[in-house]
Amino acid sequence: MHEHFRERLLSALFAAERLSEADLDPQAAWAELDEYVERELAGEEVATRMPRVAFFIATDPQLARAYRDLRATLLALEATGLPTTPFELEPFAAQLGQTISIAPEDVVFPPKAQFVPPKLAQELPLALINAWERTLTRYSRTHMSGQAQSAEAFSAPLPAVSAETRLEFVLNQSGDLTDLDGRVRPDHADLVGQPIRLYAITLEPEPVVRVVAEQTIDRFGRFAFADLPAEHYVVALIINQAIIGAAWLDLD
Amino acid sequence: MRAWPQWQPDEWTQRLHARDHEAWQYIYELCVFTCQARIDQQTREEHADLAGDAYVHVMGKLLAGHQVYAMRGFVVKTALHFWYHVLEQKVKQVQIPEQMDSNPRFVAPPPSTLTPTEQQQRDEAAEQATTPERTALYLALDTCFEALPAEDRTMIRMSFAGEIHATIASVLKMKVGTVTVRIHRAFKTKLQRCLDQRGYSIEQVIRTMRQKGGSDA
Repeated sequence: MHEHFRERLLSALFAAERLSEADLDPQAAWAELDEYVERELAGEEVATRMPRVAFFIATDPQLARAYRDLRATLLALEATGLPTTPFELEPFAAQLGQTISIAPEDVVFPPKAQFVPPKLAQELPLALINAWERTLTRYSRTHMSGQAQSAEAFSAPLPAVSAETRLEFVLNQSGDLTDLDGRVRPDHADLVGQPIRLYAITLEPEPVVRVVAEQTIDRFGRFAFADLPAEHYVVALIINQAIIGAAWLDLD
Repeated sequence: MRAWPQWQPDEWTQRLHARDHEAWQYIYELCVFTCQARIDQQTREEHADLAGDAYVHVMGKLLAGHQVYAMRGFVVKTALHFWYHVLEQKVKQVQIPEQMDSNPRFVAPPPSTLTPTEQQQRDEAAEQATTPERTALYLALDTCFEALPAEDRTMIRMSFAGEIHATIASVLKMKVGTVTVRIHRAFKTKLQRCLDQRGYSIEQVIRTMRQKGGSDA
């Protein structure tokens, strides 16, 4: 048996000896990891005092990797200090402040992701018009046109990850028509191929919803709709056949 | 270059909620620093994108009132965790060939995160490990490990080889929590009991390992 293997056995043995089965919580170990490393770098005997973290470092490769990376980064930080990096607070503050949570009643299950005839597709979104009109952030080409900036339309948790997802888009007006270039960020493989659906909304004389286009998100998180005539629109991100988030566009 | 500020968590919280530019910038710079140091990306733009995304993730947690023991450790840990997930999904999507990364769960494996000094210390310790007491302990350890049930040995070997508990669980067709508990019991109950029977209490093991030539337990 290799020397290094024996040492790992003994490390795990020492930690397990001090750890009760009731305390075998990997999430708690993860939560304590930064404290463990900070105290270790301060010279404390942490393997004895924090056996849960020590045990998972010894037996769980994910936590072991995080431990190594965290420790190495903090050591490098102490050695070199922080490089000064240009930073603008406002864009990040705006990004963090514009997070819109999606209420359960905003999530419905429309027909399958494939393009469906407009008459069938409008039934469920029709029920959402009032809520959408009342709650969604509105963007118009009046203030967006000609500006190379993007807007966070919504932020929604992905089913598979804890990271929040943002939809950003830029509107470019050309005559009476508008092009919409969008991107979902951060890049996430689960989003590739997911549909972005564009609904046209008519409010009067009676509410009508039409599915006018559907695009899938490409591997860079991008999508686009071209030559949109002046109307009200709702852009909706759909995951697992549920509308996860939406943004209202006034292009009239 | 500048040093990380010595603010206490309460002061960090106040500054962040007050949109203190300096505090927000320190955290951003630490995300950039960590990304450049730990994440293998091709371009400066990719680093900037990943750092910015992680920064928003970290700041979202901090502004939501997440409890923090020490700010720099929390920032680095949370950013790393964020990138592991993002990059894991990317790797799944792209399916990097095995010769590029033998463990495709994450980005390329770190060369060695131990500093040269620590690595040297390890090598020296290994060379000096041949004290009679330690040799005897290792013989007992080898015997006890081989006496474990085959499934326990498999779980331990797999985890030491870099397989996460979820993978081990899927291979052995059991729950993830079961794998964790079984590994814990294998060490705490079975391995230690076997060593006890050979005269190695946990205190005796620690004493042996701390004798001259041994590494600190």
